[in-house]
Amino acid sequence: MSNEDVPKELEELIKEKVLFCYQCGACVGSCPTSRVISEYNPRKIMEKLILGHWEEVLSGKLIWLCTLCHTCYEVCPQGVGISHIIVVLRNLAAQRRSAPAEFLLSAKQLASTGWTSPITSAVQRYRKELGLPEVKNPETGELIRILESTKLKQLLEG
Amino acid sequence: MTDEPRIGVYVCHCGLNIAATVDCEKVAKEAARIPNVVVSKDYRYMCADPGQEMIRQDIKDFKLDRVVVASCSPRMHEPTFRKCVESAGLNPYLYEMANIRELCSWCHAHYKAEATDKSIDLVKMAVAKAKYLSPLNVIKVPVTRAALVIGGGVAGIHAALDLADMGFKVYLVERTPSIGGKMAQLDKTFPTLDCSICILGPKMVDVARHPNIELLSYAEVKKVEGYIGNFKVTVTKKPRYVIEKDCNGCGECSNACPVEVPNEFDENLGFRKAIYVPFPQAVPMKFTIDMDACIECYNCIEACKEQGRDAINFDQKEEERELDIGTIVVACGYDLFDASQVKAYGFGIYDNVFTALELERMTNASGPTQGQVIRFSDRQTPRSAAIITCVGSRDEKTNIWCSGFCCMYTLKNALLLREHYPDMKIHVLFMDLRAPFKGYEEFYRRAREEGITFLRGRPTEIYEDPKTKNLLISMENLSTGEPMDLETDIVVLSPAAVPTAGSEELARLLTVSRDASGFFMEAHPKLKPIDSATDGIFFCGAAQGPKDIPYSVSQGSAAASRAGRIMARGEWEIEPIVAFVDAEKCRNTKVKCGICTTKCPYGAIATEEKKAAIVNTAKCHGCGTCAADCPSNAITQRNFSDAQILAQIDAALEEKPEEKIIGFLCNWCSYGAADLAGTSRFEYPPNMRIVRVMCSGRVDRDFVFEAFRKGAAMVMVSGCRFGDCHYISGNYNAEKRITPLLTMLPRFGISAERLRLEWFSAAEAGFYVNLVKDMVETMKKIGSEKIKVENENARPFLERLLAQSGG
Amino acid sequence: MSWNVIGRGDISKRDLEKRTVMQRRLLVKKYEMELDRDTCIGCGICADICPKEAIKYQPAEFKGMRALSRPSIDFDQEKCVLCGECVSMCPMHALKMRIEQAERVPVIEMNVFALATRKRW
Repeated sequence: MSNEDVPKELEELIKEKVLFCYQCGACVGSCPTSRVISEYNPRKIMEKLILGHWEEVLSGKLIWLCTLCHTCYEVCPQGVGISHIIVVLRNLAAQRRSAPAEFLLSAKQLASTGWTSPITSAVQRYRKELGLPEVKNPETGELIRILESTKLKQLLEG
Repeated sequence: MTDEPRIGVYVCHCGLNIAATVDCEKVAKEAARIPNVVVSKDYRYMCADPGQEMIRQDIKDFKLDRVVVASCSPRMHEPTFRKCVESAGLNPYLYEMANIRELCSWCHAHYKAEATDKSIDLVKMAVAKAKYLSPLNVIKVPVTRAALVIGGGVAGIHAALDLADMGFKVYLVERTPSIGGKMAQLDKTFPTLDCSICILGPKMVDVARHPNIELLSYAEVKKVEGYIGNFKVTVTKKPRYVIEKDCNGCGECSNACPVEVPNEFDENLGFRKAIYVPFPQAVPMKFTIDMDACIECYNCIEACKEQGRDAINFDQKEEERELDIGTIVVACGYDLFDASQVKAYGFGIYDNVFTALELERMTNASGPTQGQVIRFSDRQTPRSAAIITCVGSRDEKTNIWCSGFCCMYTLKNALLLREHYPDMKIHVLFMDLRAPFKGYEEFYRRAREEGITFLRGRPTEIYEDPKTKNLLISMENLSTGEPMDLETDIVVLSPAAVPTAGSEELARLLTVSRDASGFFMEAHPKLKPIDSATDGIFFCGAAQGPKDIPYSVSQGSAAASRAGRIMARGEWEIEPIVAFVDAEKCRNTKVKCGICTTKCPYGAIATEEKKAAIVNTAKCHGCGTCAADCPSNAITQRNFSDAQILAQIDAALEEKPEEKIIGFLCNWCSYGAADLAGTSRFEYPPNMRIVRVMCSGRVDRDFVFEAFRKGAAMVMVSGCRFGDCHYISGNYNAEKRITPLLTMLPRFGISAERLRLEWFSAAEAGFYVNLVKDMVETMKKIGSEKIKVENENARPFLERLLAQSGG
Repeated sequence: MSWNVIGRGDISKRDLEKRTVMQRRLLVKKYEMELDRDTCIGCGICADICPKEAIKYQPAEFKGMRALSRPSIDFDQEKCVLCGECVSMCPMHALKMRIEQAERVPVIEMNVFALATRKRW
């Protein structure tokens, strides 16, 4: 059980959605991550939240493995909406400085260049060889404003 | 009404149900201070013997001529206490009830002080009404000793047989060409694996042979009028185009028919001809022509003539029969959920996905495959099968309820497969396995003994191998916690049980309610599971909710018992809360009026030229619409008179009216929903003061005016949803009458949102709770200061309106 | 993967390049009716004869005196009962009916003629 209080946002979400989970496993059957990584099991994550082990969930790596394919959201018979909950959990974890370094790196790359993966000179060369136009860096002004208003930019800098 | 009534008030603790929240002693003490209250007590259990004895003794000792009990809902114990005061020599209609449990203690658990204040108000209201009560005598009506059973499935068959054996005439109406229902389609029944039609067949024949049962097959109920003991039912017999008395069921016509269409009895797996009987054991054994399929080649007529008969008549018309009925039993069963709605499981898309009923038609020896289970794709025997439970059940996207018997029929289907195919690999994929009754758990053990594999997990998706047409099920195996794929030759889906087609229309015809799931709603889920809220109409079998065969049979007999109880004595007492006209006030004597006649949904009021209107008490159902619409205030509804209702409004608003909402709730729907909210322990703020009326149609504009005149914060008028009114059109009349006030009141300075007109059903407790919360929020947003000012400004207008109508 | 749900026992209609195929698949029996659109001249006899009025005659499209398309017919699979009247009357033998792969026409086998059609005339 946790030592500190449940974050309000998470508590409400658990009360409104997660408590209805009756552990049927429909979310796991077609989960692409589950198939490849045996420790990842969205049903077990829901169970941990029901039992109050939310700290373990927020500080762990598992919530970052979801591909957000939303199959679980579509099939859940109790309307729990697992993939949406995963997103909330990620945000809470990031606020608590629990996000994996790789994710933060991707995010920082996005914030500075507008790409999540870098366009290297090698890539530009291959494109020229194939007769493809050169890739121009996108306008990041609007993107930065979005990242600011969602507080992600501050998180990345702090 | 006496000038100085002597009123006894009794406040019930109901154990801790009321006493845990409401200070009953305080309520009793406050009640003692009301003028004309000569005795006021509180007690643990008023409905128990000592409580009732206390009332009886007090009536004698204190010479009481009115009794008020503050306890549970009148829908619960009003009859109990009426009988109690009657046994002490007091007229049973000199009794009034305050509902401080369902409407108060049960829904205001965290508002203890306010709940006590509300209880005091409710008692004041009941006392105020009690002052105006008059002695009334029950009306005795004769009871027709004939019952109508709607639906010829196993429940309806048992109800009909029991009633017929009791000596009553029974009309059994079945809309398909044969009785038998779903049970006739099954192969075997759980947990005994009895052959279904073998045990049902003899009962069907009993129905056909019983001298007291008239079987009206291929017929539907068109119209229902009247009241308990005196229903007039119009039944339409659809044309079979076959003369029943001449047809002997030889089948030569069918042999000669060129048209083959899918056979509904075989779940469209096999075929039938355009002229057909649904199955070989059909009762009655008469052919029927499906005109959608028939090409009118008349080959059947020739074939019949060759047999020496002339039983086919293409000119046959629909026939209407009017029946005199005393009681009605609704046994119209259920439908299976359409599994194609769950696209992920591929029913109707992949060849080899079947439903449980399709599987039963296959394993059935008289089915389309003579007992062989074969795949659709290649007609080969499958070597493996996977049965999936809860298809369309326990699912927010389709149906939220558990259908109760599917786990059991899943086990049965697994055992049927094993019986036919000892080497087949059989998997049952389930979330929970529900096997609650006699022999059911043992049946589950037997399935495991037969080597059927049970995998706990709800399948996510099913894929089809395009070459083999085998199915691949992806799911999590909950026992190992690992996702897995299961390849299988066929998949059998166990679909939910849903309300049968036509339920909505039937409910409207009978003016009965359906619950949130769409099944017919019983009067009380625990104590009156067979009665509908409408006197004289009963439910049995799957029509009232999904259930298995023994439960359906039990309910069939129960319905026969409930109906028999009414028909046994040949007469029944109905409540005398009917309308009567004060001939001296009636306008029709001077100018042509007749508004009451046009408004009455039962045609119970006659207005002859230049004469005062007269109410036929036997036809009056007591909605009160006439009383509210009469322009001369000449009509009174007994037990719900203007004086009684206005007295309740005044009593409720004696103190701090600007914090109170007066609600006029109709007995059948709105009050039922409010009771259900209390029974379900939903919490909401305690500002409502409910005035119970039988129908929203009773709500006079004067009641709304009086409430605002006395300073109410808000007024709510509510009734059944349109089309569902217990008195057919009461809610329409209420809407016509009250809606103009939404524009009228703002002209006097009262904000429009302070009057609410709402329509909801007895099952919608959640709706009611949200409504109250919303109204209290609106009330707080407007603020008590503004409310007081608005009321002050409106007062002169309201007083003028009230004076005009003589109210 | 086709996501079209076909109701059990319903007739499915497929318009292929040169033919239209109407098929009813029951678990134990398959019925098929095929129209060869090249052979069909659009005379409309089948549309007149169908006792369930399940065949619609579509006249040719003209631009002045030039025909842009041939007259043709279309089936309503919800009304058709696969009786075979149309097959029996087609003068061009453009319609074929097969039950379980064998060419069979129910109304010819039972030697009947639909009165419903006679009534319309």
